[in-house]
Amino acid sequence: MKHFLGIVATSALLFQSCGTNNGTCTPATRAPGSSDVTTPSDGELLELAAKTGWRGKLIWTTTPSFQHDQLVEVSGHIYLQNLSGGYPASVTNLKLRANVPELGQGTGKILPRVYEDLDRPGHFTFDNLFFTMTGLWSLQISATVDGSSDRLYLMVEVK
Amino acid sequence: MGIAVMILRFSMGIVTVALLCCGAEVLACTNCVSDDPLSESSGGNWRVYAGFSRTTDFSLRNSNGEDVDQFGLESRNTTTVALGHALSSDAFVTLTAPYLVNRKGSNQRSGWGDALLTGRYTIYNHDSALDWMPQIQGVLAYMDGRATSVYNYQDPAALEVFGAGVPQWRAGLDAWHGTQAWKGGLTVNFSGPTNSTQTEFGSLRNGLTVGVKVTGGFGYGDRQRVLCGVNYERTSGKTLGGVLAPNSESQGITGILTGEAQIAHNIDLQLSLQKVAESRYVKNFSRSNSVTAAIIRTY
Repeated sequence: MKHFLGIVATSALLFQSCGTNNGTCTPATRAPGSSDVTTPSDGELLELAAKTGWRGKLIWTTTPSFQHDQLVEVSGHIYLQNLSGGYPASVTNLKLRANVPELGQGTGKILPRVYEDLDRPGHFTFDNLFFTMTGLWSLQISATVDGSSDRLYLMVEVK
Repeated sequence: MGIAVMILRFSMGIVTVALLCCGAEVLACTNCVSDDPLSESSGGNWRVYAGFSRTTDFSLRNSNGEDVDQFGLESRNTTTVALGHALSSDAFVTLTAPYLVNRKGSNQRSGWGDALLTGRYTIYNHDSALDWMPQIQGVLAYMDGRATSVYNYQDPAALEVFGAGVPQWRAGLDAWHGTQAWKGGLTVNFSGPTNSTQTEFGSLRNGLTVGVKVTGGFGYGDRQRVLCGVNYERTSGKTLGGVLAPNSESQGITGILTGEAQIAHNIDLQLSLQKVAESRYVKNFSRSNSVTAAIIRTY
């Protein structure tokens, strides 16, 4: 809970038709940012499901906050799981991106850096993520997991 | 001596109008990096415009018309040069190029903005037999979108954002009645991107913009005039990957207050104040205030 103090954090399961437990999934038809925003119950762990069935979790280690005169670098962990709930044998092309859907703009060429934990498959850390304005941001995690490419979306309101 | 007196009278006129209009919402499209500063050929074959603009008080409104706190630039100085040429008595083309210096604290970045090529054709010229009819011009423009934009900046404060990020076209009609002491004009234009922009979230296409600008003012003799204007623009929503991004429509209301004086038969001075309205109808729009001083010479 400490990681979420001061933020508002909100997440939206944009692929709500996807099952997070049984791996069944319906392709998403909505654009990023089009979902209702919901607050995660525990405030620490966000679990998402993609249309191809693999799952992702994102845990903040730095509060995603905004300060007017100082850039706040946000970091955290990403965990990916395959259809059976285990960690995948192969994850490639993992990217984390952020933008403001209303404006259609994000962080320009300042992109979050993602690091793979070579000792633990499916475990990643990220940093260099900057929220340069308050408001509703869309986070996108894209990856190819065990050969299946997909994207996960998460909404975060930054105050 | 005559020029000095003219400059003094011009300055006094500007100050007077500024005081009279204090509190009014005055002018310009802060989202448009380039604009066409030469709208008249004024008899000569060539016109050269050099303007210096300082823009401050940047802020951003979201889709609900509420202020957004952002980590962005504090001031922008823009030097604009434009060269206009009369192809005939009815046709006039202008090439405009802005050079911008963006500042935040002690940091600054500078670079060229998007160049703008504008063509104007006089569809109806003012005729004293039909004195009430304004001059009507058709306007076509193309703006180059190669300057660094919000889509590819690398500075965290976005100090290197100098352009729109995508080429744009513009088409419209410009009506102007300027033969009497009281003057007025109406401009309606449409603009949009010529193509999409590739972003990290997919292919982004900006919406179409409709703009309406109403201008009115008074001329003091043949050589000085003061104009006030209001510019309204609305842009339809963006699409991302072919899907409409929710709440991405934008709307802006800006005001203009401009004073112009002819200090020689072929030299005009121009001072302009611009302000984006503090209205709840301003949505997804960058707000700012600016002042521009310019000199225009006709050859």
